[in-house]
Amino acid sequence: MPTTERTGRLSDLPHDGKFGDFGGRFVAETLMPALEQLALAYRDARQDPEFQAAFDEALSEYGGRPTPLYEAKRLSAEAGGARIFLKREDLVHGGAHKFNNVMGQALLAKRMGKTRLIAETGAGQHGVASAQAAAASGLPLEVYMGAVDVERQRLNVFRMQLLGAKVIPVESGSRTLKDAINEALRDWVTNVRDTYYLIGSVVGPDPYPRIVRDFQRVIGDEIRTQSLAKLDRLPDLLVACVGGGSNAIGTFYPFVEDTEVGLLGIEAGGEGIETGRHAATIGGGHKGILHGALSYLMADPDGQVTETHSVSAGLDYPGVGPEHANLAAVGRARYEAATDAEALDALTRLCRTEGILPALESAHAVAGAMREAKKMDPEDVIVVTLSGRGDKDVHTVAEALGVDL
Amino acid sequence: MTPDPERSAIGTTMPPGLFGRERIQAAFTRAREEKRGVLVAYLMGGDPGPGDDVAYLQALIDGGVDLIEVGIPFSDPMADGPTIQKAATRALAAGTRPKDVLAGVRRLRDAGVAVPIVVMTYANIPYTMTWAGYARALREAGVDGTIIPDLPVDECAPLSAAMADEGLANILLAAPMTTGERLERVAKTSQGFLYLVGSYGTTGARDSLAEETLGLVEAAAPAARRAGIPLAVGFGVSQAEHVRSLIESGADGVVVGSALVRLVEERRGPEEVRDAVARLARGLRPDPTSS
Repeated sequence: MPTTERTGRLSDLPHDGKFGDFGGRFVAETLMPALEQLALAYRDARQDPEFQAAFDEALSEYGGRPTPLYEAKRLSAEAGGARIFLKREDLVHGGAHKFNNVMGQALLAKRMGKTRLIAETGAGQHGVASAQAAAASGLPLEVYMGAVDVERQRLNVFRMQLLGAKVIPVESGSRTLKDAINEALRDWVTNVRDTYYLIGSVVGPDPYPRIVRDFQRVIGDEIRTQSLAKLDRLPDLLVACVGGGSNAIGTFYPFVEDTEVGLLGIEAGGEGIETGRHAATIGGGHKGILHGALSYLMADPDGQVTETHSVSAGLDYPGVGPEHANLAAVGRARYEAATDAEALDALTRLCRTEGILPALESAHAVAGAMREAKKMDPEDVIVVTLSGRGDKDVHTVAEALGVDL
Repeated sequence: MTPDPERSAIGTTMPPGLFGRERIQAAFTRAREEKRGVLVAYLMGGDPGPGDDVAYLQALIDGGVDLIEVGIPFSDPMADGPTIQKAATRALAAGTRPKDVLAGVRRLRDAGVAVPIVVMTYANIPYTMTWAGYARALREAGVDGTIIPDLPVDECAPLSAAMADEGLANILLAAPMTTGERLERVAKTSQGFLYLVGSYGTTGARDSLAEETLGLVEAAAPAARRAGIPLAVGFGVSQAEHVRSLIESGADGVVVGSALVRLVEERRGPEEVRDAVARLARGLRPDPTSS
């Protein structure tokens, strides 16, 4: 339901850091000058062809872009209905779309003359991607990670260390991703003069949601080019999973003005919205302020942020990017949920029909796409962003399927 | 322990009937007349459990504090260092809710306490109550103002308006990098007083003041003067000497938080908190041994 009058085009947002009612800069005063400095530096970088060229080169030469747009014919047959194409972000360097954002921000940090990077990570994917970008840029990196996640994700902790990053376990609060973000913000408040905070999704205070979106829009831009080349038209529906929402915004944003293209975000339904054990922030949360932005979040009636649940660590976050909140509020995109069980089912089906092991996060999008495909005609086209590969999830999947490795 | 207003010199000498911005202003005016600084003390509400805070807040008054800052615990206190984070976790784990903290203030008011009291919390708490609902709840509890660290001058207009409607103060923070026009804007928008964050970083007691702190006070004081509001400085203050040097460099008041919260964490009784405040309050006046 629209909560705000649309002023101008959705693609022109944010205005003054706001996506309709959402977004903003709800941070400690200590960070405000730093955000202003970042916004100005980013504006200059965007206008500098050399910066854009360096980013493009990093994406192609180091990252292996463009990634394929692959028609999953056997998966489509299994789902029944529309043609399903996969945007293969799992094939980019590091195995996930996270790469696009971290390379852009690392280049920006260098351009700003910052000498130290910090990042937060939940399952470790953004931490690993950041560690790669830091190594490739020659900047030291410290990664904040909830102590619970450090314990759960030892492999990724070691990966980050191999790549030269320092991992700092966070013992405060619920000792998970949201607390890692709090701690990264505290570090930034303290060391704001020389430190760049490399945030992992389209969340946080302005200008982060638009910076991360702009670095991720390469996903949607490539989908457009590839769709026109292969099909001579745009897709009917784009589907992507939404935690913070960076791969989904990257997919959706270049199409927001093409109203004939449907946009569907799939949130983590966990054990079912009705159980309360989920991470479907838009579908089951309320408007609120967390980590510097007004958006939807999971909180109790007093406004205390609650813990979320998802089999996929990357979607297990109580907030969502403010641009998604606005796309939902004005009705431009739909947001639905897929449960843990649906995601696991989609993961095994994609393995068996196409020989592709998707990340559990991406499996939520596959589940959503298969559900939609049934309602559509055989000539209709769905593009699913396969945001990452699933090697990291093999232990979780085995456990969920009752297999003892 | 029942609050005993008779033990509070300030509690009984504040003009009756004053509330909100005027009560805050009166505390600074009185201190200026007495040629001393104002001591602001922070404790977490509902720490260690709901209702436990009332005795501790009374201890602040007994120790000679001029203005009380009480925290409503929030799940994600991103401007706070470890001591106050732990206090928030403790209070929430014990079941403290915003209404419990406000009920504690109401008990103090009903017992006759007249010291100005402001609530510190994070934006999602008032946002969830609605800005107007929050301001009304504060007024009804006898609270005079609020400090919301993640609601900077760019985002504070709706809450400032709601607080003003109730006669209460929305107190803004200035930080080390807040300079020039922005500092003027923050000072002019702040109600009650201007709260200067005296060092880079989060809240937390430090053994010595950060080297930049005194310079920051000297830089911010003229902006506060031009805006016609007092300047209080906090973050890292733990000793009477800190208090004295800050007052001497031009602050009208000093905020002490983590050093007191730590006493609650260590399960020290209200008497020890009272004595700690009394020691800090000695720094409000010029050093009697010098000159």
